[in-house]
Order: sequence, then structure tokens, then C-alpha cells
Amino acid sequence: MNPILYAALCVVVPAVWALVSVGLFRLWERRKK
Amino acid sequence: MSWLWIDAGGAQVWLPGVLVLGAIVGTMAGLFGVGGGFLLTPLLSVVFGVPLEIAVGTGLCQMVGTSLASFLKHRALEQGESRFAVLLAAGTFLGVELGAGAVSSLRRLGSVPGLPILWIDLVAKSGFAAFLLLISFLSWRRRTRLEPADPTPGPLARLQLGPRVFMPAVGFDAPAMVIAYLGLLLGFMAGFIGIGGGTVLLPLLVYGFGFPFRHGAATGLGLMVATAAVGTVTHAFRGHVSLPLAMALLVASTLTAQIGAGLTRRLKAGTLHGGFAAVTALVAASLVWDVLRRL
Repeated sequence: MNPILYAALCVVVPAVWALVSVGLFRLWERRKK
Repeated sequence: MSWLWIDAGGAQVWLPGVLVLGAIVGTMAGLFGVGGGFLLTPLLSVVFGVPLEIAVGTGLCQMVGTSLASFLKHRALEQGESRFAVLLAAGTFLGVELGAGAVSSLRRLGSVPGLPILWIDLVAKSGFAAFLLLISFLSWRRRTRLEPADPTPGPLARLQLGPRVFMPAVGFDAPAMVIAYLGLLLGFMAGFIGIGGGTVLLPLLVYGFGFPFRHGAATGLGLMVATAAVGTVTHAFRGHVSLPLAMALLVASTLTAQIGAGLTRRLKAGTLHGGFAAVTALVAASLVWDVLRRL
């Protein structure tokens, strides 16, 4: 794979995963209440 | 059961073990605002057999997600001082360059006569281990002291040096110049020894500036996202990041980072100080072990 694309993926994918995880966690907390 | 194994730089890594490791690193990031590189890198390398350069690069890559998740959770709880983090950032990036330059210069001194270890490794790592043991001792003593209801400025915040910046979350101001130079020091430590961020910043914020523990843990995380992203790009260009392994770590760590951040509100300040004492003692022990195994 192109090294620039791979480097971008290595930063973007974990960041997107973190945002999804935070969203899901907030949703779960709201439902719990 | 081949799906239980991940290939990372030629090493086969057991997925359930990685999930447990991710959960531990995430909890530490949420509770103490530390990156966990001191724990993650040696464990991936020694226990799971991942080549060291891949362990370092992958650790940074997972830290982008873990510190971001923890940072966002702390922000939702209105914890942390963003002004402080911005002032730190400028000094940090310059400090990393200075630290890396100092390493190159000191490497020329060569190794200790009669011993297979470089002067720089011996002096820097033993010095840093001694500093961490002092922090660990201070934190341990603090665990029995009650945290005041209103935060009071610490000795570094009381210094009368140039313009001051007000920090609304903690309710007092501090000299901007001292914060910027603190960033320079943190960056220097990171470039010089490879460990920086939370383990150095948190004690300075809590004991130096007088931040309540939970605000201290939250403040460094925004900076950590940026530092981890820059480090990840550098390592990914050299092919030293295993994205599948980083994602496996992130599945657990992004969740536990948010639980850890939430726990800073529920746990007593004394428990947090005690926990941080244990973490810094562990980092010091890992540094001492690193020096001893080279002798």
C-alpha cells in the first residue's frame, strides 16, 4: 500500500473508532438512565 | 481457530491477551491521563514477541484512539483545562526536537568503560527512575490527605512571572511563561528518553500548580492525542505500525478509557493518589529493569 495512504489510515481509523465508541457509550449511558 | 491470532510483523499474537492488555492501558489513560507506552511496548515485545519497532509504532497508533476517547469523556464531564493544554503544545513540539538532538550528541560519549551500556542510557534512565520514585513517594503520602473543596494555587501557579492566564475549570490563574516552558521540558523528556506525557505532567499539575487530580488527568490528554498522531505518522511511513493489532487493542481500550475517566469522579482523591503512586513506581521499576538487563 502507498505509505502516505497507510500513514493517514493509521491516524484516521483509530480516531474514527474512538468517536464511534464515545457515541455508543453515551447512547448506552442515556438508555441506562 | 486461526481468527484468534493476529499477525504483527511476523509474530503471531493471541487476540484475547491483546484485548486484556488494551483494557488495562485504556483504564490507565482514563484514570491517570498516562499513555501506557511504558507498559504496552515492553509487554507486546517481551510477552507477545512483537518486534520492538512494531510494538512502539502500534502503541502510538492505539494511543491516538484511546487518548481521544478519554479526552472526550473528560470534556463531557467538564474536566481539564484546554487553555493550559494549548500553551503546553507549542513548547512540547520544540522540546521533542531538542531532546532528540541531545540524544544524538550524548550518544557520541559512547559506552560506560567495561560495561555494555551507553552513558546516555545509564544516566538518563536511572535519573528518570529516581525522579519517578520521588513522585511515587509524594503521591503515596498524599493518599491520606483530604483534597480541599476549593482548589488553591500551588507554588508554580503563584510565581510572579509575566502575563498570567486564567483557568476557569480550576478557578485560578498561572503565569503563561511557566506553562510554555513546562511544555518545553515535557517535550525534551519525550524526545530524550521516550517517556513523557502523563507520568511527568500529572504530578507537576497536581503538586506544582495545585490542580485537583481529575482536572490534572484530563488536561494532558488533548496534548497526548496530537503527540500520538505525529508519532504514528512517523512510524507508519517506516512500516512500523500494525493496524490490525492497534484496532484489537482499541476495541477494549476506548471503552475502558471512558470508564476510567468516569471513575475519576467517583473514586476518592486519596485512592487516585495511591493508584498513581503504584503506576509511577511501576514505570520506575520498568526503567531500572531496562538498565539492569543491558549490564
